[in-house]
Amino acid sequence: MITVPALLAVSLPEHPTFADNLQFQLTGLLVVLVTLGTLAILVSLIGRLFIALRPAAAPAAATPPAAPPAPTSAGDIPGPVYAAIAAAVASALGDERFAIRGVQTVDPRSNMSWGAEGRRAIYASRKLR
Amino acid sequence: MLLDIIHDFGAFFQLTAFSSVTWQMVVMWGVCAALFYLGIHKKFEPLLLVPIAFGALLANLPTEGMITTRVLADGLKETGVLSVYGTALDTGAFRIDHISGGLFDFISQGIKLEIFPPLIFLGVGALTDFGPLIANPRTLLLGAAAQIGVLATFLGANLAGFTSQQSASIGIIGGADGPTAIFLSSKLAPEILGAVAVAAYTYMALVPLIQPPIMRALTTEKERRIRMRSLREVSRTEKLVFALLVTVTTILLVPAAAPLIGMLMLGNFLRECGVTERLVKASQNEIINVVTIFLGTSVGITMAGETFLRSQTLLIIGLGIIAFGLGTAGGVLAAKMLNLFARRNPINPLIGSAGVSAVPMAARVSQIEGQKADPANFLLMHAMGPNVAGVIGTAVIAGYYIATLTR
Repeated sequence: MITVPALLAVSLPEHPTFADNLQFQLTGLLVVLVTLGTLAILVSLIGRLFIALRPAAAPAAATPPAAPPAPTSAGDIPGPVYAAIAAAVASALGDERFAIRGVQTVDPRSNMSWGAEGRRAIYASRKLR
Repeated sequence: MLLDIIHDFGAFFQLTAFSSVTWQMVVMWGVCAALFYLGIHKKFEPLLLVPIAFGALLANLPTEGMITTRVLADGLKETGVLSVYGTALDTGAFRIDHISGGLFDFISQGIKLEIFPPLIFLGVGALTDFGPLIANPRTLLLGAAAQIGVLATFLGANLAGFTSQQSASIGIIGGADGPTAIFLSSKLAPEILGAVAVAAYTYMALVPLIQPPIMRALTTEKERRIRMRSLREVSRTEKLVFALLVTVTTILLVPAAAPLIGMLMLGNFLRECGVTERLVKASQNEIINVVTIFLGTSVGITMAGETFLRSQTLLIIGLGIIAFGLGTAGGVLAAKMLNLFARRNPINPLIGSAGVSAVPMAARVSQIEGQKADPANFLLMHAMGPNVAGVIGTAVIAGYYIATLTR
């Protein structure tokens, strides 16, 4: 059972002066800032601790298998971009064999951007097998 | 014989409730119709507005066995009144012989005894992922800054003639958190509970209309295009530690916020611990749905015409929108201020507006406004941080008011 100090409980009458009310509100703002600020500091410190304790990532394979040759025709996608995509896929999949069957540009202004972000978030949440 | 029939019919008419209908009731039927229109046709927070409107309709009908009404000294009506009959014993104890009241006199005790809002918070906690907040703890400060709307509106309401207790209940509308607004009003100023709840839920539904002009006015195009760093992955253990940390820290600092924060974090702990799936499902669905029905209707039955149809109701609704606007501005400006100290990892100020709670609507507004400036910018998850921080912030400020203003 917590008893509120009498001084605080009677600090604001039903119709206080503007100055008293302003002081009361600024105290309230301080209460919220201190509470959430304390939480922010503690959460930040604990977050750093968790990051430090996280097991190190497994070392990358010394010699990843070479990506299969990219298809020669890729529409309006330049060849170097195609090669970079193939290299990124090879890096992400490690030892796994793969074949790129197509690459498509996505107009960020189209409605597909939502779907793309959703897929990105889902893929990012999964561990690669 | 014909005269007898007419006489009997006339006598039967005396038994009907038509003679009990007052003009205030008829006007309130119109108010209920407007709320049904907003809830059903416009889909403004229908899960709450529809039960509130139906409860208000029941409060403005001469029902029997539903609601007991007591006329107070100032002419206002208090609904949901229980009468307890008993005998005082020699030992000083009181033996209850009989409790009389209608159906909603009992149900509405869930609000009067402050049970429903914390139960809603249990469900909210079970539905909320605090991951974005844990990944970017700075956003807790945005949730705190958005409470400026609550504090400033308190000042304004007090200047307008409301008591400190009523002003706190009006100001909390700016927190955009319905259960907290109901919790605080039922504790400090139950006489304006109906108006506060209607204003809070209506404005929460209007967030997509209220916030964007303020967000655009306070930010530059360059600021709206800021892309934030991807959020790191947060482990389950970290989320569990967070739930315990918020519970302990907040209750130690603001004990009066314990019913809300305690239940919010209980629901979240159940969700994140991973071994109480049935309890999580019950919290996310059955409990929150059942309580929502009773909470909404119980709020509605406080809206008796004699109490609701006053000029101060319009004033409350007017002050409510100011609270919302100031809260939005406070969050956006706080994000801009934080950017003065974090130039390497800036915050898009558009997510600051989500600090007013209204989960997840306010975060969606940040996302939409961000994409108007940069179609490939995704702010939704970043905005969820201040959005859920706003829930904690509003509960804390409510706790501060309860601790200092309870009569």
